Amino acid sequence: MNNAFTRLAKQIERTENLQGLRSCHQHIFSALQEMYFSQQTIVQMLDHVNRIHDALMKKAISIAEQETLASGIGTAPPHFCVYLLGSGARFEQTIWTDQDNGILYCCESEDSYHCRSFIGDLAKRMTNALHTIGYPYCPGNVMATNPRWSKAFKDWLASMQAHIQASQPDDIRYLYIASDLRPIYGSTQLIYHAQTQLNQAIKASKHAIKRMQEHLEQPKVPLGLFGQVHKERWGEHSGEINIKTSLYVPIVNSVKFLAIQHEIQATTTLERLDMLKNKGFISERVSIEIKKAFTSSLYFRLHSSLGQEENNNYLRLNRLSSQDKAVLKAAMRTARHWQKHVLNWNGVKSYE
Amino acid sequence: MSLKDVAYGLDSLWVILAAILVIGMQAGFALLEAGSTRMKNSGHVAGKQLLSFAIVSIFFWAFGFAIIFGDGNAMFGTTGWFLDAGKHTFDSISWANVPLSLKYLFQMAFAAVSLAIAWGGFAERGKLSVYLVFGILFTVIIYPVIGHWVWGGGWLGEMGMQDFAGSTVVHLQGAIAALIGTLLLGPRIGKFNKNKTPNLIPGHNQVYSVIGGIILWIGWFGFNAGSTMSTADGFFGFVALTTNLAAAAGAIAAIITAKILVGKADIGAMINGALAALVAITASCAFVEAWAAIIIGAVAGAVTFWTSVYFEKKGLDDPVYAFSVHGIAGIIGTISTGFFASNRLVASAGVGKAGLFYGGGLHQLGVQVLGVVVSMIYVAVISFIILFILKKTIGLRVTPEEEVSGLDISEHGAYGYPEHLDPHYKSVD
Repeated sequence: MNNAFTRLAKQIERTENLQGLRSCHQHIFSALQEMYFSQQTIVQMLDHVNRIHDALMKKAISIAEQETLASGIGTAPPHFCVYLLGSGARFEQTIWTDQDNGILYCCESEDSYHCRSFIGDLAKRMTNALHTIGYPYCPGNVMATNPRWSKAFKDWLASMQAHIQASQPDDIRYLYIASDLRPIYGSTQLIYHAQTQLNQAIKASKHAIKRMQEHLEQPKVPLGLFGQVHKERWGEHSGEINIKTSLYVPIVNSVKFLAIQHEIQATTTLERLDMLKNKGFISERVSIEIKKAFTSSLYFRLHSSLGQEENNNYLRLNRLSSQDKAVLKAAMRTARHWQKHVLNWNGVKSYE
Repeated sequence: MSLKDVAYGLDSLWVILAAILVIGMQAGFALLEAGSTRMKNSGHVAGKQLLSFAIVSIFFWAFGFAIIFGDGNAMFGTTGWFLDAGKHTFDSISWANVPLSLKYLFQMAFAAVSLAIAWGGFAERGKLSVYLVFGILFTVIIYPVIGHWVWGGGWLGEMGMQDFAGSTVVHLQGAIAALIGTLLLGPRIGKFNKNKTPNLIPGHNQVYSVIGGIILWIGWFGFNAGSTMSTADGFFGFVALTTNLAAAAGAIAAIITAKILVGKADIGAMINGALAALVAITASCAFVEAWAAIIIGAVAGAVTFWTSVYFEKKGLDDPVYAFSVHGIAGIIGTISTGFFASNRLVASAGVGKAGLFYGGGLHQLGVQVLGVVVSMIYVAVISFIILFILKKTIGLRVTPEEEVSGLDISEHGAYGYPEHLDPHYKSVD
């Protein structure tokens, strides 16, 4: 690990309160700025950033758990696991990231009420603690305090099965969200079981698979007929592009869809691409091409997050160097091509 | 009854039908503009269309018609006030074989369209009193002067300027007044952010806007084909054909341009594209062949979508894009005859010369450009003087409080949509 990040990791280990963790969170920005001009690749840089995020979150959750235990509210279940969703699950967070989390648990049937009280209290304390140290509440309410994302293992599987059956737009959205799961605190096996069973259940439903494939239509890569970039027309970000929805999400979701279809357990997009290549679904050339576009999306996401002290994901094109502009356009072309391909692909024949 | 009497009757019938179609365009403007603006201003935006038409009806009868068509000098007419006709008072429009009352009605409808266009720039923040004062002055000292230059025996007409139904006389004039109005009024509250980026202020009813656009399209048959003011040789049919082809090309070109430039097949762009094409073909409908009408319409539809985006980016809050749709398209249409006017049609119309693409050289193009430039300057200067004086005296704009509340309640005391907006609304059913 780079010096600045090594120091930060050690500082987190020593810190035992939320204010201290908040200070550590604020140091990610300067640590990354220090590393930005080093020889490290963008993937290495993000790896460091995500390890720090993990360490901070684990510590904050641990503090919240201690508080819940000390409060005497409810009874801790024998098995529970706090998990991350979204970019946190994929190990692709930038500096400024909000919360995407949930809790899976297994309660003893005779003590279900107390067990749920414990989880409810832990969820509140945990999300508040994360908010305090620098992870804003999720505007879409994908958080442990939302009963949708904090459930007993069996209930969680049942709710996913209901989403698979219904396959309405919101159901498909929830299935995509749930397909990125990574345990961060507690009984990790629960999450692995959940992920395996979810993948199997989705794969068993041709209708759900078809609907998930259709869902890939949006967000579109905003490239025009002649390859020009469609920028935001109105609002404070007029003249800019949202790098997350314009490049990152189309790649991530297309790869995620194929991973679900082929029961690939890996959670990061790069690992998923490797697995797809190893299983023969995409060629070496295609894998390299998409990795390159994806890495560019990470670079520009990081670039936009370094420019301001909040996560707004917007890039002003006329502030990019001509070389960066060319890289961005090339990545968007690849993403558009790939997105269209996956949208119309039966996923069986190898993509050369 | 002689054949001459029959022709007189048919022409009169045709002109009153055309006049009704053009007057019907007021309904199109009311729907288009109300649909393109917010619910809190809808009653005001639609209602002021009636006020505007009433103003033009009276002041064009008293003064406007005389200044355009009355006997006078190269700059303006000086006789025929209150439609009082001597033997040679209205010689400039004696070619139309219909009663004077119908000539007035038809031409008044044109003046009313020009003023309706101007109001586009004032939308959602102009004071009602300004509509009254500027409406009168526009009808008396702005619109008819350019009308006289081109149609009333004035100096541009003598030079052979081709503006069959008024791309410059009607549309460009209204658009320049709209531009000056919108510049002096400033943008609506909330249109631009601190970093100068524009916000979308969506209209409250896109269906109204579409219906408004369709009514205007239909009305344009009265506007252009009606400008023949004659049924004699059936030429109005050809004018209707070029008009329709241009509008269709404009709508298609605009929606494709929007898709290419901003990635969305924008409905508002398509409506404005059709209207821009209609504006552009207004000058040239009697001078160009059908294929050229398609090109003129398509160019107008595509270019004006781009200009509406461009001007907005540059900080111009033109709520219904009046300057692009009527101004830029008016310029394109007027200049287009300098390229596309065909020998056959020019000989038939008897105005000006053939365009560049028909071996006419640069002469007609030069006349058209000159006509556009001087008209723009005249309207801009006089509109600025009037509106600047109004700004310094009675004020152009409602207070921010009134603007936020909406003009329906602040200027008229009742909401256009009380069930939705009035906090004290009580259902009585």
